[in-house]
Amino acid sequence: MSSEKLLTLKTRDGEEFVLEEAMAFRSLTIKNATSNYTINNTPLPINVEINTMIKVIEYWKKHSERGISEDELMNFDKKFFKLLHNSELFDLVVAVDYLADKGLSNAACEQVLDKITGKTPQEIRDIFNINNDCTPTSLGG
Amino acid sequence: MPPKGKGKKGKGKGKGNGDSKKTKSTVPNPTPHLYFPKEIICKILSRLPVKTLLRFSCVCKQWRNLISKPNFIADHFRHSSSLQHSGSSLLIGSRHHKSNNHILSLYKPPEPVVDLENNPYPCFFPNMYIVGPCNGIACLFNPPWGDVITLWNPAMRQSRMVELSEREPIQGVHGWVSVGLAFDSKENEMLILRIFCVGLTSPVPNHVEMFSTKSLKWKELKNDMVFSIVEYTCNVIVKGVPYWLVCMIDKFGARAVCVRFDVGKKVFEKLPWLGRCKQHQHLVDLEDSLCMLDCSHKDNCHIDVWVMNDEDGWSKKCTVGPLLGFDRIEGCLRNGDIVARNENGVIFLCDPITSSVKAKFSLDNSKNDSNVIVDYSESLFLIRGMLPVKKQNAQDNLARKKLTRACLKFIIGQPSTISL
Repeated sequence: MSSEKLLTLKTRDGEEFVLEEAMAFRSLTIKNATSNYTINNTPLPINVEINTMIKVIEYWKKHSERGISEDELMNFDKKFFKLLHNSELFDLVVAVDYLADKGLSNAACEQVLDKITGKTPQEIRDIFNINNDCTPTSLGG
Repeated sequence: MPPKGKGKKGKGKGKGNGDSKKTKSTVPNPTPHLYFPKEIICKILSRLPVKTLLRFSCVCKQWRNLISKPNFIADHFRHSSSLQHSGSSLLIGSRHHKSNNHILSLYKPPEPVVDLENNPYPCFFPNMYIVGPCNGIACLFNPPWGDVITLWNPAMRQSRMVELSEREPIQGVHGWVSVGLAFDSKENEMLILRIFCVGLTSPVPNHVEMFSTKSLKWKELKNDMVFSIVEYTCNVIVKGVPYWLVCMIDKFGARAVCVRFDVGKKVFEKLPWLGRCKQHQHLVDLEDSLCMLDCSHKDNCHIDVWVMNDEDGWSKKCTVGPLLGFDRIEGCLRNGDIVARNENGVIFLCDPITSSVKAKFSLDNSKNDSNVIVDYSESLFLIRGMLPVKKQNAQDNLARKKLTRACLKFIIGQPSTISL
């Protein structure tokens, strides 16, 4: 464990942090970038902000834990997503899409789906901060 | 990929000022601009059921336009029909045990069977066959001549009838018409095939015509292959390609052959077959591959599953069972669940690995023996000219009663005036 390769990443808002390579490679984007990147100590820039990245890393850490059971993971996921505000969740969805981590991406999308299922169109507009530009006559089925 | 602070395609979304959505400090912005790239919206919306999407189509113009784009429709169908999707639906066609009317129902476990009120098929016709669904669209028609063709999207509740071509089957040459359905994903069009079937010993190839939902026209297809079809529909459709189990006569005698319609080349192709045609063999779509269920085991409760591979031909995939307590095996769903029926007409979905019952249902209103069960996935796909299906209203039924009465009177020689 002490010989784990480490990677330095730099977020969009200028924060640097270090991560185990194995964990960082959960993101295909990071994995592909490092294969093209000359190995030196310059941090790899990623298009994610630090607050969102912290959440991603928290998720990755838990899902990389050895010996953790399915049930524990499920409970963690529930709590993890429950604590996120809508805006944090959406930032996470966008970031994870960019990072290309299929597992977390699907989980985050499912959360958004849960939030919007059963809502009225006006509630949807409130959640996504969308202006209503549909006229009544242009409404479809 | 989200670009840095660009207001991408966010026409009416957010406050549209294009600046980066969060300040660089760690103090959270009190009214965050929610910035959702189009790709993410697509990703999320493509996982919603059709009913929800239709409701959300009035959220804003961008969403409404998105839902009708062919790429989005294709993506949505990919999700809706994915094998990991929890629980596929079944489309069931049956007849009412009293009135003999056609009933179309949807079954999505664990919810109960729902009889659809909006039946697009005209109630005047005593027979209704279902072919498909393909890409979320089912084709209803009237045997034996494959007319009264109705294309129907159950999820969108829209349908349209398809006018036949001017070509008609020739008395004495053609015995019936077999209907097939195909989907050409390159051209994004649905194809309806009508095969005018000749008799078994006829040396003449079947006449084949094809309707395209893009051109909305029928076209005669060149067909040189001589084969004999005994069913009114293709046996199975796998990934938009229809397959028929046919009989071919060659120097060895009459053999059962599997024939496929090549959607790109618009011709029929022969596939290798397993030999003699046996009873209780079903061609099925199993996990998007062409498979065959051989239910002719001596003990009657095991099924051999064969899978077709283009290069190696047919090979035995596995044996399923024992499946006990069933009267008949109907087939299987795309995800492998076996569909079986017991002597009381109750239908069971069984896990192919453990043979345990996953779900069961009975069709309370319908006759036991008269039903057709097909694997169904929703889609947003619409064909030009489709209109909302109206409820099968009382007028339709009343008109039919009047007509029947008038016919009866005619038969027994009484005068009658028909006013419908």
